[in-house]
Amino acid sequence: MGGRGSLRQDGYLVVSGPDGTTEHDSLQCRHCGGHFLVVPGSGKRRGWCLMCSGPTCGKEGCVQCMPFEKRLEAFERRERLFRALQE
Amino acid sequence: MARNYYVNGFCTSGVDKSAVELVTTTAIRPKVYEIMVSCSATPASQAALWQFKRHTGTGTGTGQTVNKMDPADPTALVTAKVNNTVEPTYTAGDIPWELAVNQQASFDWKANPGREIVLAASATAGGGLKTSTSTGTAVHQGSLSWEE
Repeated sequence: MGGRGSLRQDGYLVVSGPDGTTEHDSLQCRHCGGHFLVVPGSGKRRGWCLMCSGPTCGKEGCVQCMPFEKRLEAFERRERLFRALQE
Repeated sequence: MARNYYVNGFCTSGVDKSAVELVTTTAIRPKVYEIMVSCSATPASQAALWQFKRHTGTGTGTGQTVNKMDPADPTALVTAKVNNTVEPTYTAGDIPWELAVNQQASFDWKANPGREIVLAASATAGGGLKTSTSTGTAVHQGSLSWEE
């Protein structure tokens, strides 16, 4: 695996094993809120959202700009509606 | 001001086995900022894919007391379960964190302030630390820290 490879990481990972300790940076997708490891040369295609001004994880659902905050609000609205219908 | 809490759990690794489950409330959006996993079994060269996933329906597990980072804080609003016998209804594809590690290794991941994994404010939703796949069955420990 790579190592620490980002200038402004969003998270930090330490893996300790019999062969020693490795450190990795993680970045947070601005659309799904998930973190992914920065592995230089992995060949994985990530993205950058110009509206959110931040990295995206590259998953299909995260290609279009929908900030994570909006997703959460939509989920919470749906759940409130669902609960109201059940009552 | 945010209050910090943590909970430690365990599970026997396998396919879809939750070590720790967090259940939120409609009052708060917990922000998970630390995930730790290690194995307490006799070291073997087996691997497991660990995931932290959001869920929309709670499962069945042993209730676990949530610990306060600051003893002066009030009791956490989030509740926790460990070693689930019935898995929560995880949201397919919603995997904010995953890492495959050998049983002989342990990992500790921390989010930078403001970059935590946020869970929805919901009466039934939450998140869980689980194995997705595993080549062996060994008892693993998982720990989650969050602020609310």
